[in-house]
Amino acid sequence: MNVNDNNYVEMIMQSATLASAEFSQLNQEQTDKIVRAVTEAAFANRVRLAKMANEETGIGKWEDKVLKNIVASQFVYDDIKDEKTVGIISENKLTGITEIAQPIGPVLAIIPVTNPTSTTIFKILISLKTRNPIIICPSKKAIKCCAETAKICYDAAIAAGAPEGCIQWLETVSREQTHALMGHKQLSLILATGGGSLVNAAYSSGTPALGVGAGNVPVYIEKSADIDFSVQQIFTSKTFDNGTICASEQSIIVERDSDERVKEAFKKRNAKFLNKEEINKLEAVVYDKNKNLMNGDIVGKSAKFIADLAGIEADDSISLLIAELNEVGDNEPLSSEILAPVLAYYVVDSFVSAVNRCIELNYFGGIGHTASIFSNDQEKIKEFSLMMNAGRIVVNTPSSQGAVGSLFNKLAVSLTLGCGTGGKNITTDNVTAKHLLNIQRIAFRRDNFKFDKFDKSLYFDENYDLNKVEFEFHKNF
Amino acid sequence: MLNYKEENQALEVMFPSKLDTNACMAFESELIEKINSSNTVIFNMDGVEFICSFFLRICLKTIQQKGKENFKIENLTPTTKKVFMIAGFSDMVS
Repeated sequence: MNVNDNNYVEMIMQSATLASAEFSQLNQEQTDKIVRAVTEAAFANRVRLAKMANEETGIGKWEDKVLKNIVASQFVYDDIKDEKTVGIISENKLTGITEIAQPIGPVLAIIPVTNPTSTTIFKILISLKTRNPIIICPSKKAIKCCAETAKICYDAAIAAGAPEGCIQWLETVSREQTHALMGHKQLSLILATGGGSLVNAAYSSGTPALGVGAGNVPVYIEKSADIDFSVQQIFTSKTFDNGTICASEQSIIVERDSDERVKEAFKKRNAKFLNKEEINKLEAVVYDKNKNLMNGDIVGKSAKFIADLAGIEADDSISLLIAELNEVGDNEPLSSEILAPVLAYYVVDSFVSAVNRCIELNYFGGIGHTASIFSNDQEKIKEFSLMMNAGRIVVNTPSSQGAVGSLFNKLAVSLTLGCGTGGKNITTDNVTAKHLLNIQRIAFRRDNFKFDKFDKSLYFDENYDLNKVEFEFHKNF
Repeated sequence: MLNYKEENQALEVMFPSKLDTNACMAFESELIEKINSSNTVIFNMDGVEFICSFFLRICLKTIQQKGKENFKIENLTPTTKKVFMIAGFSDMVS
């Protein structure tokens, strides 16, 4: 069958719809057994799938992709395993509200090229946990590894009693097909992790969508921070999988007093601070000025690869390329999101200037995503956080790993990070199983006794303003 | 495994309580043969507690072959009725 054929889309959706019907009859125990089996299968294949992803996409480091697969299987499982997702999930005798979890129906999962196998595992687990069939729609550059991941999960799910068609995957991808799936009347939700145009297409499809926004993570090393520790954390995070995580650090902001010590700490770890000429060379290869976007060819490449491409002299051991800048915006392309081991660096005179610079960076393409601060001053951490427009502000933490939850904090473990309305998303949450449920509420009668005893004629007396009415309404003597 | 009542080319089929994939695979060809030789078909779902997607596919094939006017699904519990509604058979079970 021609996979671009409308019949192919109909076949996929019919299969998902029938799986949905069967899924609706499973109880919590049956559901959890399936989720456990799929987790075990994904975990068992964590290394092979990481290598496949790395070989197929040419992005990142396979060793780091193993850790991503571990987070997507072991840690996601640990986060959701005890969650009630079937039937009555809570009963409050006092309020008379009983909550029922219902599956939402077929989910279309858009998978990014940067984290293909891990995002596939993650989205499959949260869909199965909520009894929703899922259709994996990979990036064109990661079709094989996503298909293999989905197949491994599907075989395990079927063996554990899941419905036929509960996981489907596309083995060829076309824009027309993706759009036809997105707008299909039997599709219930799009889990859209990917580039801006794809996420916008998801939102425009008429199907409810949980999307993500772009990141442009500012990292403020406040002067009370332990500088060597902070740089070590940033270094670990930004070099992880060659900077492919959208929550990875993009710009470092330091006060002048700390500047030299921060630079030394970076240099100690083989980071290279570029001169003006080198910055210009780097801009030319990492940023596409026509598209106003990072150049896709350098995403997830090593610092050495990028330096060679730009004609910048660098040792094989080079870990990071750092550009000291004075401005934020279109005039400084390196102040935007670059998913590679490239950092912008700003020196400012005060806490206020630092926060202002972080606000500029935050609003330059990263609204609602992630911000990071290293500090031991609780008040400054709070002040900084109140000024950021970010779904998650990570403190004294490598932001790549911190934002996805569990390893360094108690955020929900997720490979889909909501960016709120600023990022054109419906939530700032780390998207997880609870977002794939329709929660119904049984509202048992609980009379409002205050309303009962209140003299309703006062509502018709225009001399009674809200303050007077409230006084009478709440009077308990 | 299945019980049939046949009268004047009208076929009524009674099913076991659990229609899982294994059970459906076991009776599929026999059922299809019976359906082929009948003009009208009724699936009597009395006592059925679980319906797998494989069985829903058999229903789809039956609709395609006999047309909606010659195929009925009867005696559904609320649980099994909801399964058919989710599967998009609302016309058949309303």
